[in-house]
Amino acid sequence: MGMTSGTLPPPLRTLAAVAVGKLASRTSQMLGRGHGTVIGGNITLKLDPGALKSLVGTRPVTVITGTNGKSTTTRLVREALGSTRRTASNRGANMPPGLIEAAADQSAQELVFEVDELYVPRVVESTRASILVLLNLSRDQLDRITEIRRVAELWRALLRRVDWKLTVIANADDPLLVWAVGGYANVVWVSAGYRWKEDAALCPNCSRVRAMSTDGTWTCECGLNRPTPAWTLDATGANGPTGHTPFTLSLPGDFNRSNALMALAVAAERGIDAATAVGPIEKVVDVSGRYVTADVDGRPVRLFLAKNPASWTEMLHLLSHETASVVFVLNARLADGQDTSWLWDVPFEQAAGRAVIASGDRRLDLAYRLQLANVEHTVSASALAAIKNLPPGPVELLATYTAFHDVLKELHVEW
Amino acid sequence: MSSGDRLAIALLYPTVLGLYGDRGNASVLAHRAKARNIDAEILIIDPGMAVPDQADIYLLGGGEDIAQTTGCELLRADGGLARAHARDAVIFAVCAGMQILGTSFPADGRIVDGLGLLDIVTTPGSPRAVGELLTEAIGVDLPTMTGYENHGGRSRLGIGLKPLGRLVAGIGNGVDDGTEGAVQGHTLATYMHGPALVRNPAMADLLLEWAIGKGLPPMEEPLVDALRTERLSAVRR
Repeated sequence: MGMTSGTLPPPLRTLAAVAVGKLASRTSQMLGRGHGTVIGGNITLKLDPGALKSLVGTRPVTVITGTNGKSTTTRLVREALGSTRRTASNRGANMPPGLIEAAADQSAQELVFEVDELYVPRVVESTRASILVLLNLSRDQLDRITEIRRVAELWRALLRRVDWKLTVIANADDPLLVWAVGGYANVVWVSAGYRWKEDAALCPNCSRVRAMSTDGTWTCECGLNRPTPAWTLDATGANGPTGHTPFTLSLPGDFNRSNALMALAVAAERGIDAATAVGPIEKVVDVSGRYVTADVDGRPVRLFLAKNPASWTEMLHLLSHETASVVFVLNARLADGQDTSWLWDVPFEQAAGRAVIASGDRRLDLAYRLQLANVEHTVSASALAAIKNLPPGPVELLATYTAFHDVLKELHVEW
Repeated sequence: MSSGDRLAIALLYPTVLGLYGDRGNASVLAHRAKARNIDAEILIIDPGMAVPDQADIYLLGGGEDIAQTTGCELLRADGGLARAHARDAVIFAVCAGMQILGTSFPADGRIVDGLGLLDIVTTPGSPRAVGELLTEAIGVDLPTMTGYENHGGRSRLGIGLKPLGRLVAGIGNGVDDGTEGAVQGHTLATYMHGPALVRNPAMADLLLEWAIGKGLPPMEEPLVDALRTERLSAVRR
């Protein structure tokens, strides 16, 4: 383990706590229970509650949060920063225990954390993060989060407490984020787009019904307006403070172009120009199993993760340009959110005319939603068994969080 | 039906009061009406549009605090829903929608006046009611009802206002009398999302029968029966 010059190593108590945690991670891994990152991190934090802060030390930290795009943006930022320095990040597990493994990598000069919305204040304050990325905010796992506005309020209160140099990089197109940022001075606004409008009908500042114009800009009588962005997208790439940078991503979808734009803004803040950062971003082809193409009985099956109505809407929009068969896999376990009502907020009508399979624990909810959307479909307890009965050709599989990881396991996809 | 041969289902402010897929209720009503050869249309009433006086069924859904307050103010200013209630039109209100029909509800740390169409006083409660909800009907003749609740309110019904159901599982109205929802004339209010009418087709049919003023032929939907069986057993397990 090489030490970064100029920083002190973490105290012995922390190192011992990390060693015990790592042992537990490895045991869990050997028992086939996933990465073991969370189990190890939990043990480390139990032995040393201040471990995250001690492990991070004085290294620069970027915290990335939002309803959708956390994992992908974190990966893109890690790649972009990695072009000039050793960078560590967590993968998927985004509550404090999930951050310990990455923070313990003392050879990294810089840390990038994706963080669950509700844990942002705790992580930002304990690590004294110097960049906070706010991607978007929409309804998700309401059984756990209860109200979207509560999340915005948490972030707003956090930014009022910050008394060190922290740059916020935030999506100017999302009114709730603009309200959350409030009067905070050090902000880089990014026009990252906002297809999902269902949580933006009212002004978050004054509760008035506020119209959103067709070009995505918005204003309110109360004075809460869309800030002028420093970064925007066009058909061929990114426009930043220093000019135009063309890019073509390996990742699909407009939402990933938005994630890439955010990553370029983070890189620029860290002193890496867009021309340098863009190469590694373009090369990313999959993110923790997302967008991987697996083979099922000779059929190419591309895997998509969609967790909430906004991301299902984005994914359906993406898939609507294609003709492949589609498999929807819906679970409603704790990590998915246990209320499936949101299915009725998603335009499943767009899947009409294609071969469609409904699967997952809650396939009956899904099947009835598809029936009322006039989408012909078959219902199957096993997504993979059903794929074998599809017509030959490519397949696209959309799954909720736990369903997605079950599929990865069944297909032996490394993530 | 008030507008010729076509059943008009008014979905009120779905962008404001539609947090939990409650628009699915409109889809189910239209679907079950059409299956009985009743022409049905869904009127989406956005903020700024008048609540129609001639609709047959009015639907209100759930929303966060500021949406609930704004939705209530819009409805009060418009006056259409109160007129519909006065002529005993069919109103189906879910969660924040139910609280809005009452006399007062909590939002953003204060108590807000509701529309006062139902004698319901809602106060803040703890813990938040989140999870599967199961009730047996008492206010109406319906089979076991299933839904998903997610609210921080405790709703006390005035004397003379019938609850919709008696709790088997969940918190419901949450005032220690074991009740859920309310029913008065052709107004039916509940904390059930799911959406409620997806999981409770008999409830959808009751609203349709109220709207057309006569009984409906039975309708077989094995998929919905299977969904109901699954949800009921998930809670009773």
